Amino acid sequence: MSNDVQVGVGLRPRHYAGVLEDPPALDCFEVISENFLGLRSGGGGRPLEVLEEVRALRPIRLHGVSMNIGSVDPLSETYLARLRVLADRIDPACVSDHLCWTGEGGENLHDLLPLPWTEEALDHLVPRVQHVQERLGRRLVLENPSSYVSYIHSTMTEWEFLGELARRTGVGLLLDVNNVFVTSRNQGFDPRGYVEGLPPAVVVQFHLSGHDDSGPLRIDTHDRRVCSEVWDLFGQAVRRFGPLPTIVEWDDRLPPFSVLLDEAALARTILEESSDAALALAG
Amino acid sequence: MQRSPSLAELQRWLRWALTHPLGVHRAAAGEHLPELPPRFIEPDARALSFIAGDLHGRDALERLSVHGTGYFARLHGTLRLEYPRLAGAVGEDEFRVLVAAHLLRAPSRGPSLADVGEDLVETLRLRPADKERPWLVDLAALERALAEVWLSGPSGKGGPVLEDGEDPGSIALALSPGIRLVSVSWDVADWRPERGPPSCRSGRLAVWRVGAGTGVEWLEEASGAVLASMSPGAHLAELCERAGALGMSSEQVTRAFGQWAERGWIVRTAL
Repeated sequence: MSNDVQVGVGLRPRHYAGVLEDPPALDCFEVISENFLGLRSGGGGRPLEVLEEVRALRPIRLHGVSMNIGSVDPLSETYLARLRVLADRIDPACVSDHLCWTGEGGENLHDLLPLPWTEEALDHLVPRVQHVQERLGRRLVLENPSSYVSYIHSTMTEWEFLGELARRTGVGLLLDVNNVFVTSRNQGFDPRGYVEGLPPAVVVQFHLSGHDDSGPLRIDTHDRRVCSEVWDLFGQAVRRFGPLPTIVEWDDRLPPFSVLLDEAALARTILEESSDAALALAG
Repeated sequence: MQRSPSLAELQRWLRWALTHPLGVHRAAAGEHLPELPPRFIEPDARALSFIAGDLHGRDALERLSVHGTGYFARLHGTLRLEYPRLAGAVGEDEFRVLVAAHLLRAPSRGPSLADVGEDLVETLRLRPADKERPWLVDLAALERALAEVWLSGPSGKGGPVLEDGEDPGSIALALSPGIRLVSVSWDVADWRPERGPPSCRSGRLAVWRVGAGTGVEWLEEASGAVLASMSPGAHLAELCERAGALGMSSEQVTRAFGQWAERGWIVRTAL
């Protein structure tokens, strides 16, 4: 483990026993917040006990999937209160969710659905992000989701939208490099332009994962190794934004934990080499 | 030129299309099923014309199908993990039909996938009576109880402790959130698909969490009745009296309360 580079993996239920028995050489773990909120009726159960044990070993980053920040539905105050309780208990290094909407009319589709990049959406999001930050008592960080759908009435690019949202609210950006790549292939733009188009100070964390490229659309499956193009793009992102905390995500068809450690080690190498190169250039 | 849809119009239409039981393509083509809930009345369809297509020859509906397919697959996968024995009992095809009926009747309204299966037992109950397998409801109720104690219950250790000089009879008790009492008519406690239909057996099952695992146990009739009647704040003396009235000897009462306390089934509660 390095003191200046933070690399971790997404901790999933199948990892619990192994991680507690033999803590791996990682700097941190990221968990899906909703998995530790318990049921509607309350409690956190065994998952929360595990999280507290892991927290005693390594810093935790909370990553949510149901904040529904972009929905026209009112924000769920109950959800925010439960998330605040969890965050206060775990003292995470970061609380993040996704720049998307996940439901409407009170229904949760449990999917990261795309927003149009319009002034209307920006005006809708700004007070909601501010409200969440007030309720959580900390800076919110939002991730760029993968997208398969875009809207012809969008008036700006995704990266312009993100930059403007950050400027107006102070929200941080969790740059999912795989998602940039998947979206770029599905929407037909240059992913390097996306990375170059984001204001440097906005990005606070990276995500890496694998995706399915077997069909006409790239699908963000989190079920395989990171592909070479995404590693290259990651290098570019590190040179632009610095050696930020990086999490490798793997959610489906989970391999032996050693494979995640291999991916994390490769991320660490790129973080160290790319940031060294950036420093050399700057010097 | 057509006015672009508002954010609300766009999301309302997308929610309708992505959750429609006929799938995105057939829903957008105007097909409908009789007796769908009102939320499946198509909202303003202009939204569709503002979804970009064409890249790689993929039209808008094909792109939307990624989300529509993912919606069902994600929730089906969640329920499949939570109800493995029920799925084994009915088979994969019928389980998919059950999940579809459940999502139609009780779409997810909470932040966590863990709540999606909260009401699946009721969906099963509302189906036409399954004369061949009337025990499916009991099996589903047991599996849900197992999920609930895992996801919400405390570890099941410890129990009420007497303070110095405290009158035991005055302690206010409640059932721990880590235990569920499941009333059943069939012996589903250890049932596995390869065993054939379970036999008839009426009673109550206690389902509770034990550290990193869960326990399932049949309760004696009187014990089950005492536990089931335990409203929050019940006094120990009153519960002992009830147990006695149900025919439990003082020895049985002492043993039962001792075991419940040790397993963390009963906890102290503030009045």
